[in-house]
This record gives sequence, C-alpha cells and structure tokens, in this order.
Amino acid sequence: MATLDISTEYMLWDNVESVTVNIKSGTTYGSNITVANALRMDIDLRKQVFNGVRLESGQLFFWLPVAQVGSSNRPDQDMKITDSGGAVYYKITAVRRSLGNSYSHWECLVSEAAT
Amino acid sequence: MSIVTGGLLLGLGGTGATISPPAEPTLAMVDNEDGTGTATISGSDVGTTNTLYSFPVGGGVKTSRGSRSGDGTIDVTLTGTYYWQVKSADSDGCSAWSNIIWMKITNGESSIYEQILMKVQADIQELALSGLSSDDIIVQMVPQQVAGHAKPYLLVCGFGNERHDALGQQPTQKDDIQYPVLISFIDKGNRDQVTNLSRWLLWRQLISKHFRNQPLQLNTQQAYRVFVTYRDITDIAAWIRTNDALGGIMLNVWVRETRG
Repeated sequence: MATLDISTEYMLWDNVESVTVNIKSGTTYGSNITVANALRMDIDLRKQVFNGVRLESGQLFFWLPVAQVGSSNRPDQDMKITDSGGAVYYKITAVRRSLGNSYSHWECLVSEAAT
Repeated sequence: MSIVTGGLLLGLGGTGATISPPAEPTLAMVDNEDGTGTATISGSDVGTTNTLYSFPVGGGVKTSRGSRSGDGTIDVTLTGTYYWQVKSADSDGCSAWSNIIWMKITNGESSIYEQILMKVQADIQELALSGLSSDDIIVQMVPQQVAGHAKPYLLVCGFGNERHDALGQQPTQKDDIQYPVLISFIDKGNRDQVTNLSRWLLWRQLISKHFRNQPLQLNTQQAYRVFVTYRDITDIAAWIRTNDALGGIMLNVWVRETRG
C-alpha cells in the first residue's frame, strides 16, 4: 500500500505569514524559531468567567508546519508566538495533524497577551 | 524684641512679643442627602478664620470650599467623594490641619451598599499600593474586564447577595445585614511567573490587613465590622485562557440597620 507524505502540505497554503515561536520544551527550551509559513485562522473574542469575574481575550488558531517548528520540538506549556507586528500570543492547546508517521502541522490554539 | 514661636525663643532685642499659632480645630461633616453637606467646626480660637478644604480621594491639591470666623458651620455643595479638612488662621499664623473626614455628598438616594463600595474604594486608594494609581481602583456593577484600561487594576463590586440572620439570638442581631463586596485583582499574567509576584502578594496582604475585623465609617452610619474571606490567590484557568493574573478577596461588611 502506498504511503502518503503530508509533511510538505504547508507549501500549498495561501496567505501565510512569518512568526517567531518561542519554544518551551526539550533541549531547545527558550529558543526562538522562525516559522515562515504560519497560517492564521479566525479570531474569537471570547468572554469567560473565572471566579465570578468576566475576562475577555481573543483566541485563534495558528497552524505551524511541523517541518519548520522542528520534529523534535513541541509547542508545550507557555509557548509564545510573536507575529511580524509584534503582537504576542500564548498557547492554550495544540494538536498535531498527522497521517500515520507523516506529520503536517501543529494546530495551536492561542490567546492574545494581556495588556 | 523676642519672638516665641512654638517654644522657640528668638532673641532679636527690643520688647518681647509672643507668637502663638491658633489651636487646631475639629471638623465634623454631615451629608444632608439633598446635594448639600454641612461642615461643623469646633475647638478653634475666637476670632480666627477657619477655612474648609476638600481634596480628592487618592491625593491631590487641597481646594478651599469656604471659610468663617470662629466655630460654626459652613455649607458645602460639592457632590462626590472627597476628604475634608479645616485649618485656622490669624495674624500669628496657621494652626495644624484638623482631623480628616471622608464623605460623599449625596442626593439622598445613596444606598448603604453604594456607600460601602465607595468607602472601600476610597480606603484602597488611600493605601497607595505600589503599581496602582487612584484611577486603577474601580467600582463596578458586576466584575468584568474594563475595556481600554491598562492592567493592573482592582475592581470593587457587590457580589452574590446580602445575608440576614432573621433568627439571630440577640435582639439586635435580627437587624444585622451582611453586604458582600468582592475585590478582584486583575494584572497582566502573560505566563510570567516572576515579575509581578511580589506586588501581587503584597496588595493582597495590605488590603486584607486594612479591612480585617475593622469597622467601616459610612456617610450615614458605621458598618460595625468587616470580616475578610479569601478567594483564589491566582486563578489558574484565567492564567492560561486569557493570560491574566486574577485574584480576589471578599469583604463581608456587617451593618446594623434601623427597622421600618
């Protein structure tokens, strides 16, 4: 049976942008990685209640190609994304989209930095 | 001439003259609940000019709000929450400042609950907490993020519902109402575990210490005791979801109210 390779799928994405990802895991902890083909999704201005207090923060997905993040790097806790305009986002959750052993991209749910 | 000022004798030759600054006056303020208030001055020396001053909660310039000769009353119309003081003056100089009175002049529609919120706000502003300006202590209807207001700030809100012990064992307990006031601390978290930790914990301690087991002087009466209970020091869900540091303290303000 044929094996599909989806690791270069990101090359087909339109409207990509370059972002800086501050990795918080593994041997590259704290280092910055440039991800040239990041894809930004819709923003959700979400209102949430914590301890009786309503707070609002924009949440959105960034798709980050595994090939550019690095196969040994994971967008772990406190991973930070900085876009070209200087806006900062922090990771909430991340899912790696895969097909068997072929890895396409991380779908990272992030929230805007508090100001 | 010899001049005595506050016990200091200045030998200038000639005849002796004693300069004695006026006595420090005492101030009392009443909210007439019709948009006016009455300042009553006592303890001042006869013939002195007593000038009443107001200044904003949280500090600022003192502004003259009228004057009179000797003891008596001065009518004031400045609405809002201010501190008030009086000073006496005569040809020998000025007295020390009087006692300070916090008061909000109201139109008669200010509830006890609102008076509590305003007083809590004023007291926290007076604490001059590091990193917080007077404008950063905000009274709200419900605790929610203030659009466009840079963090950090504190929210002062009523929360939940009043409590009333209708079956209190002591007769007067039946008239005790407990007003819950939530003080919410909101600061930038941004996953930074270090930078704001010290002030974060210090704000909490100082506010708690200020109110814990203390009475609270309102416009129209005194809340006889404040019991402090504690909410999360830092809410971990908000830390992750909105990148905010969020903490809270609850003040349970007990007021003994009149019947009917």
